[in-house]
Amino acid sequence: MDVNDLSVQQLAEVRQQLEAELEHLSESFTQLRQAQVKFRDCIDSVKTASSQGQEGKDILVPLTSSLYVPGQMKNIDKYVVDVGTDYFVEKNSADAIKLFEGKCETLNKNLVDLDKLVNEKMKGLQTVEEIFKKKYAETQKAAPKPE
Amino acid sequence: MSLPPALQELANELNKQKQDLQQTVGERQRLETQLQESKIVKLEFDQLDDEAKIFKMIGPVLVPQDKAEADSNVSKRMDFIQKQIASVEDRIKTLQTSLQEKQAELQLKAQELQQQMQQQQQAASS
Repeated sequence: MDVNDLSVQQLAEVRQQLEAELEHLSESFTQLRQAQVKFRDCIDSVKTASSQGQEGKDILVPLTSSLYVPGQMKNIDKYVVDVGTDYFVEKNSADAIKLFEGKCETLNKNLVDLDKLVNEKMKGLQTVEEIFKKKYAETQKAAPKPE
Repeated sequence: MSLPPALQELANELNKQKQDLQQTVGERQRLETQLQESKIVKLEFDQLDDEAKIFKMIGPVLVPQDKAEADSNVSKRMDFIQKQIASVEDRIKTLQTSLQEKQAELQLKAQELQQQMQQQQQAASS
């Protein structure tokens, strides 16, 4: 299908559709970014908690977001990791970090792909907009303005 | 200009079916997300040692689970989701064909109406 053959009205429709798609895609982009930040935080947390000298340290354990009980760091190489669909797996620090890094990596790939797609759509939108403007100007010229 | 009742009814039905289709497509997407998540979990389970400790979150607590049991549960869940996807896809297909039929019917009726109106106008002017 050639965009040049479309009428002004059709072009407007295509533009609207492209704009909606772009909005949806950039929303997904933000969500993926947020997920990545979350996993990076997890990596940092595991690294901090499993670093030397953490054993036996006093901590406050959140029972709810507004209630904490004092505790002590023990078993600093044991972590329970969310693997999805409400399943959790016990892992040592190295494996836990590996899992989160794998997730970050996958997200990175998705982000790169998505970025490409967004750029393509943007280009498409630009072309449509240019043709739309050109055609619109032509119709304005063709139809003499009522004085 | 208001549409004749028969045409209006058809248009209403068409709109309702369009909404229905949109909802079903949304359902299809939701199932796909679930399937992908399950696949990731399954992949993770496949890499685990047999003595790895697995927990399932039930409400606010983590309940220890047997690896074999958890593994088979995830597989069953994937089967279930796949069956659901198949049935939802069937539904989408039926909805799409019926939507196309309705659209064609509406177009035909609209054309008939237009012709009638033209004939009436001609009769009135002659």
